[in-house]
Amino acid sequence: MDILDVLAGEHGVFYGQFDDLERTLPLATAAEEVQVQAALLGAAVEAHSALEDDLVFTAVEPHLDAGSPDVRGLRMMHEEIADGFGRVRAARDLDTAREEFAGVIGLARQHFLGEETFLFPKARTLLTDETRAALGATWADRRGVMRAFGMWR
Amino acid sequence: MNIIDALLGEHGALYVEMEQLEQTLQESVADAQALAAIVGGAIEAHSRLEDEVLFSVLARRSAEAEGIIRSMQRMHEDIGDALRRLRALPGGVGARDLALSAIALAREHFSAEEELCFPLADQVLPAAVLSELGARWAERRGVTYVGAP
Repeated sequence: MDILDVLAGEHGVFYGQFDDLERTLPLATAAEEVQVQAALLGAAVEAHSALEDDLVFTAVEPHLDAGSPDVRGLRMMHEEIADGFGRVRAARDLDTAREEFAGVIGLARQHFLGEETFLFPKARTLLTDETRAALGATWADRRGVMRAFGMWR
Repeated sequence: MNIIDALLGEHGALYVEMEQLEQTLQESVADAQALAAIVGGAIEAHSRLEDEVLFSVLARRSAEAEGIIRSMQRMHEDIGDALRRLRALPGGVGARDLALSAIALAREHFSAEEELCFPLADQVLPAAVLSELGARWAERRGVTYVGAP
């Protein structure tokens, strides 16, 4: 199991939900409705960010130049995305909640694209097959995937 | 990109969301519909991708594969039925209970796929086919990273 492929797999689910939400957000009738959806999606995206920080970014950084500004930038985007979800939670009216949610979805899309075009291809060249597989096993353990019966690959 | 890894990645994200949904519904029944819409839609999209990208290819490989795929597709239908019934409810305790049942069903189904279906695909489909299907998955999902050629 390759850590980069499974993380891209997670992106796939989020992209589908971003599409759905962009379509349904204009139909929301109360700030609370938007906020409860943002809370659920925010928790999932933030858990995804934490896995990337802990597993991929940490593994790649020692191979890059001092300070690795690109990875630092991506880490900062994780914080900005979390702040964006916080602003949805704090919104006092429907329009603000919708606007903030649409904004954080746009930011997350941009961030995922940055990872897919820069970080993941770079990590693929820097980390060996064995390292990516070991990180994939850690991911499976943390996500509870294949927990019931152990790993077959 | 190996299709199995991509689909396992989808399971990982969905497990977190299902957990979050269960937690929220234990505390309040008010938001069952809005929350089930976002998670249910994602589960249905995931099922469709599995059916169309992986299962359609895997089912043609052997009688054993065909049997396993048929039972997986039946589970997709059961989950879809539960979600459709949920959408038709006005909300409240009934909606919460149905949402929780749909989640339990989906979790059981994911486990079955991880135990039976994905190992079988890994065993009977050549690496090149798994990569080709992974590229098809990436295109359908709008994912730019395709991993190994």
